[in-house]
Amino acid sequence: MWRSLLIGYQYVLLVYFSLLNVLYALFSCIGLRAIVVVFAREFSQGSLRDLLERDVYKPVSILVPAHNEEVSIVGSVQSLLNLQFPEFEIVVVSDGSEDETVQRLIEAFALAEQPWATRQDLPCAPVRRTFRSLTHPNLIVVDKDQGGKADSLNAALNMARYPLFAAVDADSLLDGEAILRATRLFVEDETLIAVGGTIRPLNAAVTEDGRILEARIPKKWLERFQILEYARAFFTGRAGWSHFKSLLIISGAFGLFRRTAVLEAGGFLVGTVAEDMELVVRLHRHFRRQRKPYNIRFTPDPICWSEVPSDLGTLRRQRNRWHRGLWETLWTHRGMLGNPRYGRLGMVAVPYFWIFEALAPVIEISGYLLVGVGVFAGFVSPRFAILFVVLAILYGMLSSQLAAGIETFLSNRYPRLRDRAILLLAAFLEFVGYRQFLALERTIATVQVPFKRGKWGKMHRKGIRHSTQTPPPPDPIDTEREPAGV
Amino acid sequence: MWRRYGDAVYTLMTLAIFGFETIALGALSLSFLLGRTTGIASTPVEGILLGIVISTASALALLGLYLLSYHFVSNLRDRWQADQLDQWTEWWVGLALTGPDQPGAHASDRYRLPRVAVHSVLSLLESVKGEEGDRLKEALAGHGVDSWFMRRARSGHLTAKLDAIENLGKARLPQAFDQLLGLLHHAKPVVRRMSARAAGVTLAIMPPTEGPDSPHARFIQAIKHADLQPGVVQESLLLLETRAGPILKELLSDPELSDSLRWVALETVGRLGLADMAELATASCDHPDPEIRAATFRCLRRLGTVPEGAEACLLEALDDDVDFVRIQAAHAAAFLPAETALAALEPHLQDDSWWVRRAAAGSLARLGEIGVATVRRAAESHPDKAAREMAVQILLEADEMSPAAARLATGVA
Repeated sequence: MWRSLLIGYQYVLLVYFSLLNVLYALFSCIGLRAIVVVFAREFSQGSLRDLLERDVYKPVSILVPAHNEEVSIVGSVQSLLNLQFPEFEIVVVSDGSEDETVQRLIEAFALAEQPWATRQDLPCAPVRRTFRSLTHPNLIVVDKDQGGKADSLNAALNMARYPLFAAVDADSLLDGEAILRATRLFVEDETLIAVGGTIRPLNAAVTEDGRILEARIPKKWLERFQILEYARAFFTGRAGWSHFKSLLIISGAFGLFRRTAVLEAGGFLVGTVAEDMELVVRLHRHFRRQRKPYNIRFTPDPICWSEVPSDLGTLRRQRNRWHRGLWETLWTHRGMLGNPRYGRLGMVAVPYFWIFEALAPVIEISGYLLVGVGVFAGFVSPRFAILFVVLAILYGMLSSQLAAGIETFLSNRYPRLRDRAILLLAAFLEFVGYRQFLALERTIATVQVPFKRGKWGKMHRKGIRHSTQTPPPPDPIDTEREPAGV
Repeated sequence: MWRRYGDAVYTLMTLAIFGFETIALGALSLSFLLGRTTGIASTPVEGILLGIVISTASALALLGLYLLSYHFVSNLRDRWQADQLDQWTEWWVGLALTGPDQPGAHASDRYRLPRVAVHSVLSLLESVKGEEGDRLKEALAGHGVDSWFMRRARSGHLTAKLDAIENLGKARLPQAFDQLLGLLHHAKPVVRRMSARAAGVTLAIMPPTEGPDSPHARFIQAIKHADLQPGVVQESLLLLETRAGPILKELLSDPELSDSLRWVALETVGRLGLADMAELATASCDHPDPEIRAATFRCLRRLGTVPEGAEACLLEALDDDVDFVRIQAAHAAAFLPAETALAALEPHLQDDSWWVRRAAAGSLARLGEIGVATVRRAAESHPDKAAREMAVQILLEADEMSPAAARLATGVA
């Protein structure tokens, strides 16, 4: 009886494995086509300059939630102030920081405390103080009681004046043209309500005044593996889902949204650790229910550089949180699962995320155990087991390489040939312990979901290295802009 | 941002690997199922598995090799290209300035221009116009580059087509204008978008002509009937620069014009600052669509003028039911005569909408001393708290009040 059950489960695993790899390959193809064929050609530097010169853009509010980010906040804000974009404001929200986050900002950007006439579009924890920079009139800092990341974003949204807003993590740097490239999509598509950009690991990159001068491969393998993970996630996965109009995740590190759409959907959900994914799923749900035309897409061009964990403890906590967040979102919106009312979203994307993302670590770990048990019990030959494990590793390497290969077409790629060789090697080493470690952590997270709802865990940051020189203020901005319906 | 060479090979390779994976995994799954009676670890299944392992390893090795080779070659090529680009740019600048007297100007007619030379001249053509630009275009035509681009723009291969359209846009070749208009009806949105931009910049350098068959008339017809998002139409109209006026006039004078194109035309008039069209624009100030009404007042605000005939309409719009119309009207009211504006805007300091309050206070502050005094008075003693707060906010932003005074006025410790 047990033996039959185990053999049966083994068949399930094999079909699962086959389907998963075919889907990965499919997304690689679509991602490559979308990126290389369309994005690489549609907008040259010249046409972007045309957009700027002719005032074809929508102004943007950049929202930066920060909780105890004293190490990286100044570098991050400097990077944002350096953006090549004519009209934007930066709203930094210190979410009850207990460290020197606010003080560092006061010193670096000459902040003066002043009252602020805010809207109350969304509820949020009480605001203690608001500041405006004397050197950069488009920099606003809010110091508020702690309420979590989503609460901070809601507070920032109450302050935001422009029709588009970008949610950016305080430990991230944006490419100079990132906002321009993302906003042009809103200009040409009125139904667009959200755009996600590509995130690349910042670790070891050479920066100056908040600008990335050169991408470099980090020294630690832990960080190198994450380069491959990010390439897989963004250059293939998200590009593929976006192509099918079923993108469910826009990274919290960098996403651009139409403010009225987000307000209409109720803002960011407080009390979840995946406010980014939850918002995107809710936007889909809201607009589908309202039968309003909308579009949510991924674009590889606007690139955001984000610091990835460099130690196992932080990585473990981050992945645990991500996976709990995934479960929280899927559970909150479980009504969409297999629901034809939501079209391909309900019938394909959401089931995929349940089966191939949320349950994936549990199936992977059980697969390892099953192979071991099978060999021990004698219904799987050791030779077969070894061949199968080798095949799994090879397929994993293949999908990593297909994704990381797309990175070679970027102008700002890892420059040295040695870097490319390291990435090839990392694609192999990733499967020797790292992947299993993460699968185990995500399995633990699956079990913890009901008990740790909304808990973030402490993150350790090295911080963005930056010069102490404050950049010159941008050109004066036209401070008035239109809100809804414009 | 992206390297555009070697991508076709990589795409083909990915497709081949994808195809192979699908077949291999299909075969593997099938053999598992067929091997159900004898157990999956049967010898034939192991044989298939071994075959797949070997071929996957080979595909991986091939891919790795390609990536390493590409990286190596592209590093060399980037360096070489940078050098070549400098040399060619210097040569083209010489040609643009001296014409056929430039050494090698005729000798080079005999061979096809290298890609880097074309790239360099196209970059120049984005900024060089007039006689110099014409010389460069003649040289391009002399080498048959224009017909090459036009042939490629007809290609069924999307990559080649997009590259060609982009190049036609940079080169601004009048002979390609009709072809670009034709591409506005292409099935792929990306082709339509790029063609609209290229047609816009090309028309911008063509001499103005009149008549139903003129390029201007054909352009108007094309944008009216093509499936283009308003933002894309707006972009192509903005790219017309000084040639945009007559086209916008014709669009706004058309009573049958669609609402979305009317909105685009109003936005473009404002952004291009075509003040002589303010009268024409105000004809839409009582349009039934609130988006158009708002666009009209936004246009006036950008033009910095409110024609006499539009004053009554604007004052009425300040009490419009739709908040975003009131907002734009409040912004535009800054350009009414000061006395009229003061009387019209002051009540809106306590409008229900935060945005209208902000726009009204901002417009008052722009009226000069008299307006600032009104806002200051509101900051100190307006009975409505929201109006007081907004007045303080606007004074702070206009540097008319210090943060300390603002804290005092609003009672912030």
